[in-house]
Amino acid sequence: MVGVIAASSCSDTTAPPAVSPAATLATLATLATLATTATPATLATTATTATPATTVTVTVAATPATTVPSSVTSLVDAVVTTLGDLLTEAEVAEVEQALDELDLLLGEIDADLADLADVTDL
Amino acid sequence: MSRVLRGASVALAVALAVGVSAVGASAGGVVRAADGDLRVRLEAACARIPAADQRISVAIARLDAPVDERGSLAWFEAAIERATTTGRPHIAADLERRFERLTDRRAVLDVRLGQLERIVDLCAERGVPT
Repeated sequence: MVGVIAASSCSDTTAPPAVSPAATLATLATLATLATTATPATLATTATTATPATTVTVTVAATPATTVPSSVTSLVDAVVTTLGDLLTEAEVAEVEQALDELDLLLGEIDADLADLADVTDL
Repeated sequence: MSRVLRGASVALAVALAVGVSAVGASAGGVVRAADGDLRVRLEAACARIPAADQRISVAIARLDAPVDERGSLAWFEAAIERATTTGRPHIAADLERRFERLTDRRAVLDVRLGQLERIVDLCAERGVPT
C-alpha cells in the first residue's frame, strides 16, 4: 500500500447535478486510483455524484502523512463495482412504459386495419 | 497500524458505508441490481422485445406495402379516390379518417422502433437476455 494522505477533509455542499451511473463509476475509479498513488502532498477528495434524487458521497479525510491501507482501497474498489451494477426504478419504469405504449400503438393500428373488407367492398 | 492511520481508515469506511446506504435507502431512487425486484421487472420487459419487434416489422411492412395490398397507405389513398368517384361519401370519409390516423401512427412507429433498439442495448448492457 503506497498511497499517502496529507490534508484535511473537504466537502461540497452544493446540490449535485444529475450524473449517470457511468460517470459515477468513472469518478469512483479515479478516487480509487488516487488512494493508491497519491504523493505526500495532498489527498482530500469528496466525490459527489447523483442520479435524480440520489446522492452518493465518498470522502477521504486524513491527517498529514497517513498511509492508506490496502483494506481501504479494497473497499473503494468494492464500491466502484457495486455502483456499476446499479439499476434505477426510473430506468426500468421507462422501459416498461415504452413497451406498453408500443403495444397500445400497435393495437390502434390493428383496429384501423380491421374490417377493411366490409368497408371497402367496392 | 497507527492510531492516526486507523482513524483515517475508519473515517473513510464510515463515509463509504453511509454513502452506499443512502443509495439503497433512497425512496424511488437507486437500488442494487441484485435487489431482485428491479432485475425481475427488467427481465420481464426485455423478454417482451422479440414479440414487439416482430409486430412493428409486420405493421411497417403492411403500411408501406404497394397499392395493391389492402391496408397499405397507398391502398387507402386509392380506395378513398375510388369511393369518392363512385359516389360513396360515407365510405370515403371512413377511409379518410383511418388513413389520417394510420399516417400519423406510421411516423410514430419509427420513433418507437428507435426506442426499442435502445431498450435492446440496455438489456444487453445489463446482461439480460431478450
